[in-house]
Amino acid sequence: MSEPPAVVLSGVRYGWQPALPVVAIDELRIGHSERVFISGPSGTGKSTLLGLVGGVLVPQAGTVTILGTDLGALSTSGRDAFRAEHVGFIFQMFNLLPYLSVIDNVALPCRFSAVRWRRAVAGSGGVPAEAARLLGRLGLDDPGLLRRPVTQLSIGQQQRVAAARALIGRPRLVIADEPTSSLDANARASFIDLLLAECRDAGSAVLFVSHDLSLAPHFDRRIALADVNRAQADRRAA
Amino acid sequence: MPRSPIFRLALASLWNRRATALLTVFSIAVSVTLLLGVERIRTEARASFANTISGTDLIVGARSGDLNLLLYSVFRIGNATNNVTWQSYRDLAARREVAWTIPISLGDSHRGYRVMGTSSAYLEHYRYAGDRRLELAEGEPMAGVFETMLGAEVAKQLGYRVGQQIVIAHGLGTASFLEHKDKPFTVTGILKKTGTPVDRTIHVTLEGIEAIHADWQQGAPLPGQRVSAEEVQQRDLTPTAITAFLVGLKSRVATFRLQRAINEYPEEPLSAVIPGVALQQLWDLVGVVEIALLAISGCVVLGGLLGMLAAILTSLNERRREMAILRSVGARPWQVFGLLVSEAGLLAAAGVAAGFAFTYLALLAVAPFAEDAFGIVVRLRPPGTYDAIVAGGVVLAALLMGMLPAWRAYRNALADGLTIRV
Repeated sequence: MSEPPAVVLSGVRYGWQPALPVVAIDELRIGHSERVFISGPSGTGKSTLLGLVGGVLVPQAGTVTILGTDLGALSTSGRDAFRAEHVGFIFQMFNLLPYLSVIDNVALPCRFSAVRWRRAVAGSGGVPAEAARLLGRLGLDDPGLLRRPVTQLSIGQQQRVAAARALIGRPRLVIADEPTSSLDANARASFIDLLLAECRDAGSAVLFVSHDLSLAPHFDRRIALADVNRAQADRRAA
Repeated sequence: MPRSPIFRLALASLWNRRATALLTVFSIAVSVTLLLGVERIRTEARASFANTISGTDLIVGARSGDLNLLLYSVFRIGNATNNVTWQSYRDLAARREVAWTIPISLGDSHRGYRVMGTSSAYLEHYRYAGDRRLELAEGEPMAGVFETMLGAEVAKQLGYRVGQQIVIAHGLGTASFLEHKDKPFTVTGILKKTGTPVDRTIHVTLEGIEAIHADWQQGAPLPGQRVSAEEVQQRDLTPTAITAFLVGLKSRVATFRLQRAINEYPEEPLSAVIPGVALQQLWDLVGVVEIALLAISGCVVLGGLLGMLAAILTSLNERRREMAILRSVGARPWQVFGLLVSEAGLLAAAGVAAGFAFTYLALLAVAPFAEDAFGIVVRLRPPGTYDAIVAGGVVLAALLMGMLPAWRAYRNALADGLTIRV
């Protein structure tokens, strides 16, 4: 059986002012469970691209199809529900809720998505158990550590908690936006290895955005945003 | 299936900011306490007043305002302007429709407590709180000229026992210089507690009042005309006047007829009031004050809620990250809205709960004082309809107010999307 590709952008145009598109992508395709590294200096439309793929932004032209679903055909709340069920996010840093325990932070997506709740329960028999399993896979299995407030964890540990949160309930697509920018080189490599290994096991596609090209070899494919996004070129030509 | 996460998140988030949250809860609690307390005192005061006299159809005294007559004759508040002659009293008491009368003679005091001259009819006919009659806790009813029967509060506060002798002072007030020292009274009985001004009254016979004033004129002792306690008892101690009297009728139907007859009594200007009607006048009078108090309390509650609103609104900016994180893990904008509304609701609910606790604690603390000072018996009753309305109203108002920051957070959530702003 053939699974639909994780992400298909075709003919997408988006700009805060429609005459001046920030993103102009004729074709971008990320296959099922493909792990893609997207590079680009800031100002090349990275955040806008993630907004479009995440269904937070709606393109002025073209279609964004995620896992075979055309986001443009969904309502705003439909897109919200879709994202909650199928997409896991990891951001740069400080993206844990300080008032929840480590386990509760990881379990958070299951509280907003019945599908991910069911998958987590199916995986380990319960959401906290699945959260603990994922944390263990990412090297956080010290029970004393898990009891600590998240604010007392190191940045690297926090990012691994965030990764476990993005992975819980096996979303089909994991979007990571510069998740390693606050980590040192060693931590960076091990974080990416752990993340990718876990995504492989879960069968999730990965869209990893970073300006740090040294990370690219870990991925199946590298896409330079400047190559696919014609917005800059168009503007220069105009 | 995941349960609704919003409520638990709101709780956890509030707990994380518990210092500020606690202050907000406290300010709401204080305002709710005020609102509940004012109403409690009001209803207790009314109940206390309404319970003081029952079964009496008319109160008769010298011509004056209805309210004044009621206050001095029954509540021992204020003074009579004039007396009723003994003759008129006997005449009216003998009327066909009258079942019983209780004469009342006021004007003297003992250590701040008022002394009331009356007759045996008092124990027999006086009723309070529905159909309860006065009973002795210990001792005997007063009978002799220099015998006295104390209210429960008087005996308790002054530590008096049956058999003790007390001296009555002329006039009212705690520090009277004119005392009837030569004619002490013996305590023969102490009444059971009633929760009415009776508890704060020293009862003597009409003859007793007459006896201590035998050698007095115009409110001062006549110089060189001392009459000893023994001598005075040989005299005719039938009073020449009393302050007021309570009337019980054989049939209530006659109330208005007799009232008119007394008000038009040709021999002497008299007033007859129906206790319930006079009480209603009292409520009308204090009603304005009560409404003012309630309005002030209401404003304080509003202030408490506005404080909460300000606290939530100021927290919004620093919590934009929190909202964006919630959005990124799948929270819908309406759930962000719900989070803030439930936060307001939780703060208000906690404030209301604490307010109820404070109210009951305050009532416990105030009850003895209210009874001593004002004769208002504050009973601890379970919360009633009013309390439920206050509780519901405050929480509802908080939820409505919470919609303002919630709406702003909702707008922010839509605008920020998944971008986490530091």
